[in-house]
Amino acid sequence: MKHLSSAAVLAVALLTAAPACAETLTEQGVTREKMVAIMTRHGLPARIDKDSKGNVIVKSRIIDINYDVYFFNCTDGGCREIQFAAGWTSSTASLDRINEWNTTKRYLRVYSKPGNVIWAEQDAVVGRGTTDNIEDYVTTWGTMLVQFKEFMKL
Amino acid sequence: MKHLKIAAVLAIALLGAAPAVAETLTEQGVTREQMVKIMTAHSLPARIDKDSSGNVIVKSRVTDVNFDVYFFDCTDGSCREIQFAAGWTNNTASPDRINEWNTTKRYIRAYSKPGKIIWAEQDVIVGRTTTENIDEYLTTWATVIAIFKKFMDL
Repeated sequence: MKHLSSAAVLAVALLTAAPACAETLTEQGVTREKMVAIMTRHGLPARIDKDSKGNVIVKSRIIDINYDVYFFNCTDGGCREIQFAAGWTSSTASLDRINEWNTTKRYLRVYSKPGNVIWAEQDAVVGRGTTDNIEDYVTTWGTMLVQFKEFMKL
Repeated sequence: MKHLKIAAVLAIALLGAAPAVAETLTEQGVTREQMVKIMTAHSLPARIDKDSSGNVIVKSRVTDVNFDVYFFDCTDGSCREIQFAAGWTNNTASPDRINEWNTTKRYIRAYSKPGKIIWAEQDVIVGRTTTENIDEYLTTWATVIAIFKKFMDL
């Protein structure tokens, strides 16, 4: 019984692992690996992959929405800026509807491309920021993306 | 002569004042007063004022573009989220042109309103970030809003 008790305590401790120590980033921002670590700790799936153009990105998902994280202004793998991006090929939204989103909502910059394509993107400067703040962006992105999907009937 | 030399050194020291000490913010983010300080240290004019709807904002200008800073999700005057916003009333850009901006550029979410109005907005989460990171956003905003003005022929 005592052995089980210790194992149970250990299991609980591991399952409710404390958030990793908050870190202040340099001007170089985050690496893709660090981004994966932040997102994983946040309970999201995250893996490094390439997009169709060969850009090295982090792929993730919130509920039933797949999205990517892009990296910009990188030096030796550390990137000062990131972008969350999600796209659909089944958009029926007019330019007016898209303008209505851009007018009334924050965070997500939305645009259409030919062929019923619609994109929602959110940019963040992570240079000299913190891993805690990046986590906040991940949360906000998730919340807004779900709202967006509903707004655009995707 | 010696006095003049000391005065000159002092003047140079004051003019080239060191940036304010970097600070990591809590989840509560920044107050308007703190934002004025950060912007002033960044050599931007900044004053607290109200917009036409009575929102308490920070008004500023970069080169020849007037812009406002809005504050959201505030607790006891400290706000977790901010937004840089600049608007014009002489817009000639079509919905397609605005869509082109949103498609090809980062950071600024652009939209039109009736009566030749166009807005450029950039949202930032300041909760749990550093004052230095906010400084980075000021630099990025200044750069991108200048590109926006040119792109839209404003």
